[in-house]
Amino acid sequence: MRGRAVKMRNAHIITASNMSDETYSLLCEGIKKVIGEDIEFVRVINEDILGGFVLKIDGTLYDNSIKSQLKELKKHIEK
Amino acid sequence: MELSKEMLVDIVINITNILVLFLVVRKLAYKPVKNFMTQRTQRVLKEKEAAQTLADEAERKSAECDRIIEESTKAKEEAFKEGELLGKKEAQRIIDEANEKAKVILANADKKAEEKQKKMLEDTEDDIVSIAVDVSEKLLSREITDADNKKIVEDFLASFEGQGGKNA
Repeated sequence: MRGRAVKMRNAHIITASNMSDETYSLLCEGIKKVIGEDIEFVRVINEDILGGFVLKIDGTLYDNSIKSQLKELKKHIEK
Repeated sequence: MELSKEMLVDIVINITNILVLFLVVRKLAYKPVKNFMTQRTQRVLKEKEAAQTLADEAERKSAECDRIIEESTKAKEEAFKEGELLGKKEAQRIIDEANEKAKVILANADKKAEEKQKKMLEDTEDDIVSIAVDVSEKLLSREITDADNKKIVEDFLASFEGQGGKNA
């Protein structure tokens, strides 16, 4: 079977181990739905982020981790 | 005792001699002696006048000296008083200046102490925040559940959808 080679977009998602596969799938499906393309997701487990996730897609970083929220909170209080 | 004729003659001759001598002497010596005496008297008077002049001059100079001494004493006292006044003014100026400097030093010290206290307070606040965040991290690492993760995912997707997957 001959066909045009299609390069699939990659996305890296960092999560802590406390995120279930179900929630992870919900995230992946939601992202696919919004972008409207098939995306290859790579999951990396990192306990340092405590919870939430960090999404890196096409050079853009979406940091929704508990760790980053705590950092923001700390900055806000220190101001 | 009877005067002889010879004796009388001798007496007469002697008297005559005396008269002649008197007349000669009067004629020859009276004027020069008188002139000498007059000149001497004038010289003595001149010397006396000169001595008086000198005495007057000395007295005048003495009075002048007394006046100068008095003026000097007065000037010295005035200079001393003026110096004392200037000294007091200078001392007061130095005291005032020292007081001003002391005020500035105290103000600076207060300011520094206040800044140090503020910095310490801020450092303490930062330490407290750091400790609170550290404690929160430790607590959250145990307390975060999948439900929390799901909530974060749903919130993100809602926002992401609202932006139409901007930048992605």
